[in-house]
Amino acid sequence: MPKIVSLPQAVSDLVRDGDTVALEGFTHLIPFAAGHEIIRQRRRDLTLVRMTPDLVYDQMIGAGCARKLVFSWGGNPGVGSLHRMRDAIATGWPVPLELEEHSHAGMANRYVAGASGLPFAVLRGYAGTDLPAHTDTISTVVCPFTGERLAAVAALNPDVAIVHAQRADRDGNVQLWGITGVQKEAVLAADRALATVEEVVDELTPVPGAVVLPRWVLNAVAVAPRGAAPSYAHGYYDRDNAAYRAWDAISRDREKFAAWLRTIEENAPEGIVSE
Amino acid sequence: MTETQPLVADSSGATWTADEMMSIAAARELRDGQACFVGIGLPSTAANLARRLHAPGLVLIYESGTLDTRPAELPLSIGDGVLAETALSVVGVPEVFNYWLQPGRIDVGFLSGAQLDRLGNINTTVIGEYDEPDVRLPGSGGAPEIAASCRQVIVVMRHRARAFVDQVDFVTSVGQGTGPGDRERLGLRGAGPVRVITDLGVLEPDPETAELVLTALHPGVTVEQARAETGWDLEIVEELLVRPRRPRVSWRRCARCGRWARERPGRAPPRRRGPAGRARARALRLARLHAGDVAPAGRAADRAVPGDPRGPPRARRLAGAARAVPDGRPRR
Repeated sequence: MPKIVSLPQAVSDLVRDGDTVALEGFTHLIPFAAGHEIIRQRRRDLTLVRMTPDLVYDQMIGAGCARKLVFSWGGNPGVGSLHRMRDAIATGWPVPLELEEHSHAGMANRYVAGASGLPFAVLRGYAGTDLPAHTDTISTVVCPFTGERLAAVAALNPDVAIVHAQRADRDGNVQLWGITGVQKEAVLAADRALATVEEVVDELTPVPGAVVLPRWVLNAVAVAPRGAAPSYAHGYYDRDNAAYRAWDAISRDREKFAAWLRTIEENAPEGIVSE
Repeated sequence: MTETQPLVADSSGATWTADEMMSIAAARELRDGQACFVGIGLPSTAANLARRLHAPGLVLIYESGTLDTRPAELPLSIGDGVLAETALSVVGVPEVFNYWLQPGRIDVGFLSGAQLDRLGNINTTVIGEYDEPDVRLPGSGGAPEIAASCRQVIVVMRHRARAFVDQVDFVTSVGQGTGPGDRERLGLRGAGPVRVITDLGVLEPDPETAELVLTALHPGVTVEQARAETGWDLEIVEELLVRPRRPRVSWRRCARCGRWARERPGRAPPRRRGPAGRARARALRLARLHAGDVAPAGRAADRAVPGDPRGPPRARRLAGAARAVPDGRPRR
């Protein structure tokens, strides 16, 4: 049964050094608070999985949490590069970073295969591109019915999936809406799952287009108000585009980044530590 | 990232930037009723501009899963809240790629890149070697499948020698692959890049060699500039078009055959017609369309001459610079 616990407790219980960890949320509902808690708890040698690493993985890579990155698009959307990620790839600072690179369609299908209990997924993709030569989890398969040659991608089954959602009920059922990305697939593909939420409510009233994650597929639910900022939570707060732009200068400079890191390590936000 | 220096000024003193020029040229490529897979930046600007002007029924699909979205403001990312709020429906990411893009339901996909080669292949992964890159770029995102599965791809990027290269360092998204016939061999079902819109002009693949050739220039740009910023020996089509600043053309679809016909002003100003007159003119125009003497909409509509005994337009090298100087008016 999932328990509604504090975020530090949830991360401490579920995320271990060396784990394969997927923090998902496609532009929307990115679990920043959970990522920052992983930084504070100094987890190491993680394989970080995420379609769009975004600022949250730039921060975790810069903090030295990651040994490997599995991804499909690594940029600061609408702004430019992720400089901590680039620094780790180019110079190994603060630790070397191995890459496993896919396309969005490939990553999405890998999660679908993982959630479906299948070893791989089939798609029309990658033909003629240079990616299969560099990524072991891309291959081809021949259709047994038509003989057509198609791309095959290995299933993704993270040790832990972490997502952020708008709300949970008191039993730990979780509801999210707006752009729902691959969160459902990531949670169902993972061995363990944590959802952080904006609030706990008595009843999950229906919302059009909402995804509900039943309590029995989640190991823990933690309340983290504004836990997706500077991304956004549909219906709660907007994306902080200025923060995304401002990250560029922080990320470019190791010293500015180190100063940012100290603020994260020393100051857990209100409402996250105490429970 | 944005280039805000005014590029050109006209006699009225109005100026515009390279990015605005590209956005407007790209917007003009889109037709009402098409479904368009939109990336962030210039493609998003262009698609939303087209929707506000000549293509109110344009269907915008962003890879975040927002189907038929109508944002009132331009989003900074492909997943901004305004896209979900104004969408007809929001679907998950596996669905948008597997159900909507992969089967070929999207008419037009926009792409850009750090490098583009003579065969329209695009690199957004690395400059230099993959394992020890000179520059690490963001990677694939949705681009490889957009390039593979949209019926047509329009590439929008700034025309610079370091970007327009003979061969890309890494094929992230396939254009014409290794040459004519390669897309069919690879099982890619869309046509690939049919136009490359730059801040200097427009390139299109030669029907025979699949190599990108210069088919249009923006006002105030010379062939020499375009050649200097291209890393291969750029061919120029004989019927080189200078893109009009304000094309007063509109499109009409024939109710009978579904084809699109261009309506050009000047022949009969539509303003002075009543509904009956407009209907008569449309019937006449479509009759001419069926008879084959009106340029149909399509990839070569701007320059193709139906019934021309020389056949379809080919890349023909200009003998010299003399004919390459545009006079600012489109050739009819």
